[in-house]
Amino acid sequence: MSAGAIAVTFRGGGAAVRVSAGILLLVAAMALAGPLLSPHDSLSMDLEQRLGPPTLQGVRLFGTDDLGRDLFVRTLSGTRVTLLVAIVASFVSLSIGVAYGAIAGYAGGKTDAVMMRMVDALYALPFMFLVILLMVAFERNFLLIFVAIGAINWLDMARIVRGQTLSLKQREFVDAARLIGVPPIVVVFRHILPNLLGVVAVYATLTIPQAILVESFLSFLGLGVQEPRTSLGALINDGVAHMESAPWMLLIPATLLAIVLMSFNFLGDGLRDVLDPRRRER
Amino acid sequence: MSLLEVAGLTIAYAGAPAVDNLSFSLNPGESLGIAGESGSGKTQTALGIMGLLPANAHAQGRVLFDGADLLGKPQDVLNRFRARRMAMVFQDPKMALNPYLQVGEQLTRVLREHRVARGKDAPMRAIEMLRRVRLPDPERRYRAWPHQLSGGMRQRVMIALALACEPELLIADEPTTALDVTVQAQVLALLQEIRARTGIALLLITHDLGVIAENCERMLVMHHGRGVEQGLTAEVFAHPTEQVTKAMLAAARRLDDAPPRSVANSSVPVLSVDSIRVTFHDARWAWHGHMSHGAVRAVSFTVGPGETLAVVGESGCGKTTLARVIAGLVRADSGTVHLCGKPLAADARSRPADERRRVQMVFQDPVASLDPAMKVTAIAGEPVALHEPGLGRAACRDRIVAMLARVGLDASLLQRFPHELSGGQAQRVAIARALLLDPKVLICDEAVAALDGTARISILDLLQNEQQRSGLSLVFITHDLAVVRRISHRILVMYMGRVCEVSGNDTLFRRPRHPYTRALINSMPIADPARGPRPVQLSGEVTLRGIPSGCPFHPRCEYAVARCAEETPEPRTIDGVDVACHRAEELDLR
Repeated sequence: MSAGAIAVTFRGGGAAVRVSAGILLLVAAMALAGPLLSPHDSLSMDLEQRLGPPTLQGVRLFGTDDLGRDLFVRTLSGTRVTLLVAIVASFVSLSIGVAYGAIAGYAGGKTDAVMMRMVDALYALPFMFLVILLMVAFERNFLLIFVAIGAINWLDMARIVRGQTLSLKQREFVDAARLIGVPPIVVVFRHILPNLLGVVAVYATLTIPQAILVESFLSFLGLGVQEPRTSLGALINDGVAHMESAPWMLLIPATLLAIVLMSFNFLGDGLRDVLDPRRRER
Repeated sequence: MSLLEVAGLTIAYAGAPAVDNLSFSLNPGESLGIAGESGSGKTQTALGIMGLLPANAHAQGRVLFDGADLLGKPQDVLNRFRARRMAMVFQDPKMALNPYLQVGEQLTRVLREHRVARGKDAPMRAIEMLRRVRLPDPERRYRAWPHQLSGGMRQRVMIALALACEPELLIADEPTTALDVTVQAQVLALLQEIRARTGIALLLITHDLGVIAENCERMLVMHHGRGVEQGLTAEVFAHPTEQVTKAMLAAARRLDDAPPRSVANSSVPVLSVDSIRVTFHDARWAWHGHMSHGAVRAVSFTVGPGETLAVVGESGCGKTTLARVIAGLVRADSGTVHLCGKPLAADARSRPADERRRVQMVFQDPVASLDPAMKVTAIAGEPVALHEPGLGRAACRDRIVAMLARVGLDASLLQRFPHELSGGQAQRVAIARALLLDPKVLICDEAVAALDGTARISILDLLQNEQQRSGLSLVFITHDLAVVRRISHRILVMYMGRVCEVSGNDTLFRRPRHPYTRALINSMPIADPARGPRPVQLSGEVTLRGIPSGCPFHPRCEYAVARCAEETPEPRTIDGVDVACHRAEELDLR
């Protein structure tokens, strides 16, 4: 269903969806392959050419930073890190959230009440503050960012999936499955989850930009990705320091971030419209 | 000159016509019934006349109302006709009333908008309208919110709204389909009364030929968007010329006067249900006053091998809850269910696999009972894989294909998703899924209610054939007496959670013992225009708030005496009929 829906989105979702999907594919392809196209690598410094503006001379397409590193390569590898963090974090949060919400919703009764009150309690924690504490207390490692972002996002997903499950389990096909003796956990994974995929697909495209924002924010604060690795947030942070002397250091990663975020949002909106039953012809 | 003339009306969606070159006319004061199965374009026609088609519909042709062409006219032109000269009543009164406005407010808005009444006249006029549609206690109902009214009352309010500006044409689109059969009879009688009093023209859209036979002077049969046949109702019924009409009439007649079959006799019941009680305490509804609803109170019955027991009653009588208790989907507060003499666990999950497979169920909505994300092959394969895990892939497939063939489906449907099946095909898949487990008892919960006439007959035929083939016992839950008449050996009538009467098929229709049974029988529309309108037998509706003391039926019963309100009648056997009525012996209800 969801694969078909995605196909429908690209055919019938309108120009905004198609353009943003195209942009995202292009950005992802560039992030993976782009650094190979440049004669430079992301770490080698050229102290002769610090804060160089974008130029074709020496193939410095995006210029250089304060240490003379090639910004084209750094921006693309930063994009790669940002996308990776966002996609992995979203995947983590979706897996936890979907399983948790579906089980709570299907089990119902006291199990549901206890599980959802736990979610409520977790909601009450000031997560950004916790994440910052975590980052400060432990080694600032890459893995921790996935965990931290995933830990924030799964709560929303759990609530949405639980609500959907509550309405799905009233449907007659779930009764039919219970009658022929399908065990509850199999009902959840075989009958409930596949029917949730549409909602999950939509929500995933809206979770990814959220995760990108959190990662960028952490990196901007200097708590996220650490040197020598970089991300769009870290690059923007560097750019702010040289905003007046080398505006391209700020403008290029910031523009790219904005484009990626907008594309994900348009894609999510388009998917939601297509999957909305009220918009279906049949 | 005709009041409404539709000429060459074609309504298309993305090039596919929903209504195809349809022409008909309606004279002032006349009643025309439009009959057709679902998807035949009846509702699209009504929406086209009223100018309510969605933006993606493409309409051609002419809709002349009193000489003015309305098709494709802008809203302000249409608004000079809508409500004032033509009005519409929709199928589901729950959806058609604004839940955030009091009933009276909705009426006065219409009256003021069309300047029928101003200022303080409007509320007076609105109450008068409510009185005219026979809404009990109109002064109080004026301030009621839609959710406080029953389905029948809401439909009365809808009719009052439609009639507010005294239009010349009333379009009623399946006005009684969402209502119980006794309430349907009341609403149809009200429409007749209004027609007799005001001379309004009526365009009645329905799938039920019985409703048309009793209420319309002329009729039009639609099929795949085309008008295939029209004429005087009596003539079309007597001499149908088109194949489609003949098939529809045959389906309606076959339900009406199917010969009852011999009753299977057996001393050992397959299923025996003993004093089942279920009460739902739903805290969320407490402030609406529904402390308990859908309750089943001390219901007992048995079903023999190869026997069909029909459980009949109006919505809310507890018949579906009863079915779900037997299936093990709802836990009873007390009482037991025995299968072949052995007690069944209350919960389907705690029944041993061998017992669980013996009680299976077919649901009302065939498409909803199939997992939308699974193909037919996976849906039908699930019970096989679950109960015979050792079976190989090829053997499993063979079994599924054989079962699909048995229920009349082709193996080419295996790769389809449920939404790619017709209602009848989907219900066959659901039946195949149940039969693959080789059940002894098959519970059919309104299994044909969502199907059109011909598909309905073929599913009933299929169930009867299966019964003869494998000695299956059927518990057939339905509100439709025509279906009951056709399929059942014995009939159990329920009212508000209690058994009124258990009787043989022929006996029940020939000599009902309980006043409620007779009211049900008399409310059933009959597809025979020669019979003429019947008097309404039953007033009132199933009360939503609380269960009456004594006999639950006594507030609506014309034979009720003081004792009925005090003492709950216990079922007792009279001439082989179990009946729960204090006056069963003395009443002669033929």
